[in-house]
Amino acid sequence: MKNLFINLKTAFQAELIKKKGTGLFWVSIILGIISPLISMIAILIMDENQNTKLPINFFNSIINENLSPFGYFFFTMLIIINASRIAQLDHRNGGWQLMETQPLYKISIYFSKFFLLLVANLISILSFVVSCFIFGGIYLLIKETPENAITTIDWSYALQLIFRLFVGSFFLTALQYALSVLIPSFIWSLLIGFFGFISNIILTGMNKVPDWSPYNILNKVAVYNEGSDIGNTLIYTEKLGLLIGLFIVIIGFVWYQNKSFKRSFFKNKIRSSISIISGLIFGLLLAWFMKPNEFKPNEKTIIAGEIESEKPFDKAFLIHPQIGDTLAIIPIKEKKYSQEITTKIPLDRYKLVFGNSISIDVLMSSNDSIYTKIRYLNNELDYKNKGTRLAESIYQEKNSREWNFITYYLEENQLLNEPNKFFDELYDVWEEKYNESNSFKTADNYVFKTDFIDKIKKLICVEHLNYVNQFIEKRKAAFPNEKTILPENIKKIQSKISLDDETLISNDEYLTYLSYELTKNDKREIASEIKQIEGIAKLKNSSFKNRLLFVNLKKMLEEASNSVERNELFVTYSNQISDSNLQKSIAKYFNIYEQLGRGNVAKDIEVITLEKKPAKLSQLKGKYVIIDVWASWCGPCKYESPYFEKMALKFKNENIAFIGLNVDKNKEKWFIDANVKSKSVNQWYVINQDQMSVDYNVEFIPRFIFIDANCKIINANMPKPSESSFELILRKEMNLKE
Amino acid sequence: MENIIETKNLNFQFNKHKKIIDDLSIHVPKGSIYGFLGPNGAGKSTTMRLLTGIIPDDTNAIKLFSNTIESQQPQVFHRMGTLVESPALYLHLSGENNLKYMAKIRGISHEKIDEVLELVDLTNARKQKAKQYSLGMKQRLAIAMALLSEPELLLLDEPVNGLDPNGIIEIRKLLVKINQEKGITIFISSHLLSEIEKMCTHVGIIAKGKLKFEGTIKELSNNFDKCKVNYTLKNAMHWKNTFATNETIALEDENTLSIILNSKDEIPTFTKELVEKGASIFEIKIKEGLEEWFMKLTAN
Repeated sequence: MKNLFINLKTAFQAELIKKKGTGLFWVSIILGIISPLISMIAILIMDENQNTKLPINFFNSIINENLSPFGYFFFTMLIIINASRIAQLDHRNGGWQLMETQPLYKISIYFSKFFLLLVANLISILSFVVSCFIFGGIYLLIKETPENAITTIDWSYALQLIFRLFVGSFFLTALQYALSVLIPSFIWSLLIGFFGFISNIILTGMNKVPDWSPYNILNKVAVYNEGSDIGNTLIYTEKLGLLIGLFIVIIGFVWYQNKSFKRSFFKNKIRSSISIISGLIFGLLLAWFMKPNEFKPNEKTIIAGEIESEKPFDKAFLIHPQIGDTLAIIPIKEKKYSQEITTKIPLDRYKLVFGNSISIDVLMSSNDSIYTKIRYLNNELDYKNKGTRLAESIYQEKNSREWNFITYYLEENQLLNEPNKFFDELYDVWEEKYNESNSFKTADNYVFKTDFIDKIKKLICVEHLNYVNQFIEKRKAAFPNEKTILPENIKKIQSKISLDDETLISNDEYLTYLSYELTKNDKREIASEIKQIEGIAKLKNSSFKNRLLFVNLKKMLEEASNSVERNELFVTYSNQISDSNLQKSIAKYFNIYEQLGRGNVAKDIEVITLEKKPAKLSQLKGKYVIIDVWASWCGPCKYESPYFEKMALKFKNENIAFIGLNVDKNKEKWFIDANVKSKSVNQWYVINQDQMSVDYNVEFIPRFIFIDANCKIINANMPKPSESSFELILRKEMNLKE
Repeated sequence: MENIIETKNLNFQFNKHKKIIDDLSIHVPKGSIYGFLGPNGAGKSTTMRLLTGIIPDDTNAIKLFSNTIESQQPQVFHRMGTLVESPALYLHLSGENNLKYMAKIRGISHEKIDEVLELVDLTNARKQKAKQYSLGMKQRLAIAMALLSEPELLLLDEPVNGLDPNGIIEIRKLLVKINQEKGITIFISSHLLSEIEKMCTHVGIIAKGKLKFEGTIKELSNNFDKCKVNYTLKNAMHWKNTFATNETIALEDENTLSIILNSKDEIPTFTKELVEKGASIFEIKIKEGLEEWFMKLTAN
């Protein structure tokens, strides 16, 4: 063993002599730095702004920007070319025979060259990372340091990435090397390499690349530059590549050692059986390794996480996405929280609300354990959910609706005269999406839980059924006398969706589908909301009906144009909700909307002015009042503030007061912030903030409230001043010309 | 005498139908220069590859230094230098770097490089890239690489192939020199008898995979020191009767006589005698000699 090692070392040192003058390492360095060099020149010439809102490591972002061109293209090319060159050195002039008649083990011959390739890989990776540092440093010397950029070198990130790139290159290197050694003609290994690379690009476009594709592992390093989601050093494809790479190295060596495939693996019965058994073991190992991971359900339901922000939060609320009821109040201690949820919750995207400024989505159900890492700095929110719904959270983050032929036909009113053709195409699109819905996997080969797969399958059905309904409506308008008969395949999709599916209740598309299905036979000329709520009221009593009724009623109560209408709605439908909690809740909302509804008296607010004198809202009677509720820590408020001030200047000569109502906890902070604002807006500090919050149902800020000259509410929830409707409403209500 | 290379009924075939090497048993004594002769395609290179283990010998019919190759892989190559595919060099490297590469593998000090460069007369061209070398220089460099570790055995496959007469002479001199000075056993293959006849101590002749002759160069020439000559002349019968006392004379046909002489040197004397006696000779043809015998093998 020791002899072998010394022999291998000698062979390797001899290879270093042999590679003299081939520029092997230089090419590796050049292909390593080419992408960072080009992008840095581009950034410097185009003078692009590198500022970010959230603190980001400047050097890491340079590395990440260049990781894809380097890993996917330059590095892959380098490996293919280097492997061919290094084997050709010996193919060309009988070098293999020369080496084989030297005191070298075959194993030394094969692996000394392979190690040389790995060294070349490492050199290329190192020059890539180091050049990113150097070019980044040059940028910092020439230009200003970008806002919020962290300009220290993140060694742990760099080292991990170097390691991942190195491991990621192993399989491809082993494969290309084996091909280059076994096939004497240089053209074949290059052709196979380029063909593999190109077919990988094509398959990537079709989203059909197998996990084991050697040409894709480096791409995956770039795609998942942040690495494993569950704290592993290597991600799944890298480990898989390492496993197959080791197998290829062994096959390549045995084949090389014995010269022919038959002699290597099927020379005699013993060898044949060893080959077959090893092949089987490897196959089983591979199958076991490639089996997707799934998180086991937890015993408890846990919601935990950490939040990094300028303003400290002391609690968070877990809120149902549609009903809006609070499922749990979660205390936060030292920026961390962890809470067991004891009530049973179905799978849904819940909202986790911090204070009244941040809201994040948490996809979970009972027996899940979710950990969320939140950053809220400089008014930018960034968060990542981990835990038992890892795959689902990442899918939600990335998934966006793709363009397809069906939406095109609908937009362009095509195929209206050929319903069967439309339905057939729709069915094909649906079928493909439906069958592919569980193909998603994370960097660590985690897949969806089955309940989530069921849900997205249902949502795919709903999406396409809505297309069907849109089509039917359009056809009805175009050909009023023709009936549209649904073919069997569409009925098959329909049969997968029931009209009382509680798991889909928070999904807007399902509600659209539902309202269409409930009202499609109602030919009366009345508002569609009424048709809908009547349809819902006719459903059998169930928790599904309760929730749906609640959601629809709440929306209608909020949007009702006067008290009479609101009262009528409330009386007719609220007692149809059989769940007492929801009934209470709807009654609460009714009262709030009534209080804040048009024509109600605006409750008085006691404040302190910038001159540090007490004042009241009611003092402004005789003038229209428009209020901006804000706080110094609230980002969106800061965004709206200049628009609000612009409006104040525009309406300077009109009978209207512009008020900035501050709800900061710290009065001193308000005083400093408010003093630098435009004097066109009166800056007031609210004394009893909790009371005001209840009186005006302030759930989120900024909030804009419009009150008339008699201290009565016109609109308690105005559009934002950055929207054009803001000014339109002001002018209309005050009878001013537009 | 101790044999450095010995094969016992060595057989080799690429496929079932054609034997490349057929029952080959050769014996290369220590300290000899063994000429392995045979026409192109006789199986010389295949034998060479088998002897060096490039083609694995699954039957273990080959013994190098009295042991099978397999049992002494790869250390056996410390004891032998080979030049199989001539010339196996790295053309992108200088002559010196080629030798440095070999020195690294064989664990030899760099001083030795100067020595062998001197020996093969390449000292002035050491920094030149091998691709700029002439064929002879390449051949000499390859020999230098094989000689670097002062092996006990040197296997050379057609080392003078394609060289000009001067080059052939130089290499021949070189080989004799290292054989005599350092006692290195040399196994050298060639398809031209004349090329190696002058330096070999032993000869093995192979044709169509079969060994046709093996022995010392002396035994070989002894075998062929009689010389059969055909004379084409008028009235052959008459001349047979004239030399009736010479039993080696025979009538081939009506115009041809054959005679076996003790050596080629006797041809002018006998011819003179014939002419003096008034014979009209049209043609004199040596029918059997070493060269002729060898040529006959080659022709087939």
